[in-house]
Amino acid sequence: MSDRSDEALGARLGALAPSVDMVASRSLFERERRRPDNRPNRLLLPAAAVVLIIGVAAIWTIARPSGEPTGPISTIAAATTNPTATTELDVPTTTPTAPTTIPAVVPDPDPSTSPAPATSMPSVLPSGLTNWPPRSTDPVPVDAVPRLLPTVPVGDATTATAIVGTADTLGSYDYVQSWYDSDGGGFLVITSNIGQGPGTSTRGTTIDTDGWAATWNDAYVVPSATGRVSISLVSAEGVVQIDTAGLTEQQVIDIGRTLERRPSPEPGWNVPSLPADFASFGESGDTPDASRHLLWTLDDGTLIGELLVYSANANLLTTGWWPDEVTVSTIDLDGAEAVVLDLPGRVAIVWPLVDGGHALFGFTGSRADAEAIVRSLTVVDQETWDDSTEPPDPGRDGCESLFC
Amino acid sequence: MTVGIENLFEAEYERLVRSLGVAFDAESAADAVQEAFIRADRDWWTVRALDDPAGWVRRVALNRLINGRRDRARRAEILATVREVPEADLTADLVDLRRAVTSLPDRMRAALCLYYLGELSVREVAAALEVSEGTVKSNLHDARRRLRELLEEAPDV
Repeated sequence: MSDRSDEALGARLGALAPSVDMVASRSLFERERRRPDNRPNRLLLPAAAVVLIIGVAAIWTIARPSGEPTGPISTIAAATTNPTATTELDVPTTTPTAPTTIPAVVPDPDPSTSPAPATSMPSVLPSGLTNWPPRSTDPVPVDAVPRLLPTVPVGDATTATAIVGTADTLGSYDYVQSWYDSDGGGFLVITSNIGQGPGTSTRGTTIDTDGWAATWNDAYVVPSATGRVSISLVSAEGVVQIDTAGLTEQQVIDIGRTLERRPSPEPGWNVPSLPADFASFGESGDTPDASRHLLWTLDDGTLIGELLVYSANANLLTTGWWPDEVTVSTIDLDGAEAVVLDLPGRVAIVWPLVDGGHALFGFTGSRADAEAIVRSLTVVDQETWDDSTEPPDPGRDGCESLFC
Repeated sequence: MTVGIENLFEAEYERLVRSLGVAFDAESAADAVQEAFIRADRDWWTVRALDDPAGWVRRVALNRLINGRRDRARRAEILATVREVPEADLTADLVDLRRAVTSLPDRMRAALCLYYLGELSVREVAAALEVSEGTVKSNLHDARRRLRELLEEAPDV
């Protein structure tokens, strides 16, 4: 048994520990657990998922043109690695077309009662977080998310489990812009969260923002233990979060200092201080997201491969894999530029899809095998999908992901 | 005897956030532990039947932390629940200790903080990190050694 000979170490670590406001923590937990998408899983949710899948499949069978789309990955992955700002409503073409209005505070999921149109807002406010273009608040039907299966084995996996994610109700409005360091392990993600509230500066080091291109009520830098530097820029209209890896604190502050709001009504920011090696991965505004999720496991249940196909939001941070030792590179995937994150013993590949959204593949194994699997991905029909995959265990613990 | 999710939250939340807040950062720790409890609540009918529901929560929180995932949408609310100790309030040796802890690998940091600060047993730390007890003992030994070396090198000590 390990000894506790250094009793003082516990006390010294305790002096570094953050203070926790249990009243606020409890309140947040109570609120979050009551959100519709967090309601307890019993037997109803799996049953509802089955009903939804059957219903959507039936609608698709009736509504689609003759012939299920099948074919190589090139039919769904195009070279839209740097979508322009005006295409942030980059939802698949089968999505009902009803972009509504900017949710100035909290969006109403019912388009008929959505907030006032953007044109009624002041055209310029100092923070630059007003007068953004509208986004869709309509859920993306899960059938709009392609069913992708590889034609080569995923390592020694014996089981592929399929999980379908239906669209969540959106809260505040995120607009995400991502760049990666094409020369090594770094990234920059700017998340503009409109309507999140003024936030707080109870932690981090406050930054003096006098003379910045955009003005803020509050700004602070948050170093983390994992090699990342983030700064939060807070205004009454929302929060802009700049998350980075591979950059110094001063570089990140310089990015914040020079951040320029694009000419209205374009969404997003120009970044004059973008490091030279950084290339755009993509940008988009959140829409209610649907997804298809495949998990490949060995006989003993070990998870070795994972494919996530999202209906929206090309976001490098969805990989969750940005430790110091990551190596970043790109490959051409039938015309789409895919970002490959190489770590010891594991690989993640993320790429945009032609009809919007993006796909993310994680694999415990070699890069060559991971690339071969991704290159073999093919759109299949529902029957093939069902025959090739297992339904999820209803008692799963919610943490069955390489990216959890 | 089974406990309710509310009892589990009261018993474990603060200790876990404080421990993991040193190993990682306060915001990420609070986000991860909140998410773990939300998932526990969502699957409570399964989690409550486990031998160690608290261990399940720790494991989910750690997985989320180590893989660097966060919920950006509730960032402001998370930030309102925790407060880091400002560096200006720390003595020089504690500043050095924080930097030394930060320089350790993820899992070693987590083991160190859960054991010494969270006062979990080696078995509980092993379960949380999904490694053997021997690995935890080795991690703790290595962490102590490396902290000693790093702090000896620190000019302020």
